[in-house]
Amino acid sequence: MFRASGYLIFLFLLCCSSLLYAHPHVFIDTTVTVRFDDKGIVGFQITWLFDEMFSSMIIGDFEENRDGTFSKREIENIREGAFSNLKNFHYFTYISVNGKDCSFLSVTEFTAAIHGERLIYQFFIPCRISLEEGEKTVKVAAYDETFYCDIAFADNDPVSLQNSEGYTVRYEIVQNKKNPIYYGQVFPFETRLYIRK
Amino acid sequence: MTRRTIVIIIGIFFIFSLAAFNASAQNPFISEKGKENEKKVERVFQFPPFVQRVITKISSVQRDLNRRMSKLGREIREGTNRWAYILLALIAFFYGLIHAIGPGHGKAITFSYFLTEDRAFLKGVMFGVLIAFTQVIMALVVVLTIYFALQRAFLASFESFSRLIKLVSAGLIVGLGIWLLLNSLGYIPGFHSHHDSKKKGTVSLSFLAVAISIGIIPCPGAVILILFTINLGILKFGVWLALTMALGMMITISAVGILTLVAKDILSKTLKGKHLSGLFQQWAQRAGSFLIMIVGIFILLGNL
Repeated sequence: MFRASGYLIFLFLLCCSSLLYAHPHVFIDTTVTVRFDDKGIVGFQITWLFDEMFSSMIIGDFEENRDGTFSKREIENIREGAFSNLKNFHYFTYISVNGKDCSFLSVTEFTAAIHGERLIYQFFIPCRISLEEGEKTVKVAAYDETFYCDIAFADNDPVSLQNSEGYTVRYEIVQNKKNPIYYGQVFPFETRLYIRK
Repeated sequence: MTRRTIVIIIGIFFIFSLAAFNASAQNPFISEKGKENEKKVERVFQFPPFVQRVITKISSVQRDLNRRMSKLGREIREGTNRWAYILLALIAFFYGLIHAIGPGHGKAITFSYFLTEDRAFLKGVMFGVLIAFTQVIMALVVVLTIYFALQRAFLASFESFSRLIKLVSAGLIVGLGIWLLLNSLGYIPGFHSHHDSKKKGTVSLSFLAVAISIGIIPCPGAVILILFTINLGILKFGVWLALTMALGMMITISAVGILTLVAKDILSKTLKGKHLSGLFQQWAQRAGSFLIMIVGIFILLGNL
């Protein structure tokens, strides 16, 4: 009797826990460009390449003259209508230096473009990191904590460096198994940079 | 009431409260900030490692499926692949099946409803058909209305409409749950009494009402797919694709209904004596009605 009721309860839990099942509707390929100056890192330029379905929805909504490119006004509309709210979700980017979080309040240089059939967002995260002493480990994690979007680093050139002469940089891209999100279902991707002057 | 029963009831409420948080899952491009206590719950409630591995694999499969569907859609538009129609339909079916395992496709309601029903596996199938096809037809109606009739910004319009329809659906479900509960307790006559359901093959009004009440919430996955086919200029085929996706969803949802009936059957058979069996049916009916009401309340709370 209890075995059978256990079966019923198990089924019930399965139904409810499936409510929590990882289920993205948008897929993003991301790349990071690390910008340096003579003191260290100035910030990170993030590029998002969206999947075709989401792209066609945003392009359909915001590209008014159907000429295949976004005008300045259309880009501003996109920024307001389909980007600025991401402030509440940390712009899907989390930066840490030697284990300590590097917080940022806003992003700059937002632009949007159409690449083939797909939508691209690009923006800059100002985040000063001094590299005068020793080696530092900088982590840039990319994830949507609601998992409405599934974000992965692009296969080609996921990380590039700007003005990095004078620095030795090693990097790797890993899935952080120690920091799963969304009820422990998803391991976000992060870039780990090991930098010294 | 035994301690074990109390623990189980508390556990069920806990699981449902997690469901409530997810019932509010919305598009981060538009919606409000995630709630702090939700995040704390997320960190506490984690799946075990072997489940995590399976889910990680399924996530990458979803990404791949999405890419394939886009590619096939383009090939149809360009007319470069004669197999594209069939392949895309197959993928849409499979996508619907997997998609319905995810949140928001009426599985908790199905489970709860079939606690109140008598064994009739065909009813499980019919319930799945009703929910799946209502969801997809609703998705079609919504997309076509916003896109052609309203012609306004799709993203924002859909999010507002979706929230509104969830509130309506939740209201209906809570109402139905209360009605069913009062009926099962004998306080009011219902359009779903225990006697009626003994007639196999009859579908009660409550069966239709519950299925349609949850089905009116359009499935965002179907919406994105249909919109995509509009933008590609293959809407007529897009409608067929959506229906194929509904077929896949129906399999998953019906499976839940049937499994619930099977479990109830097993339980019922282990109870010796007609009296105990009857008592079990009665309590199952009450539990199911109560759960329907609770699911409705949580959808309501998640979308206010």
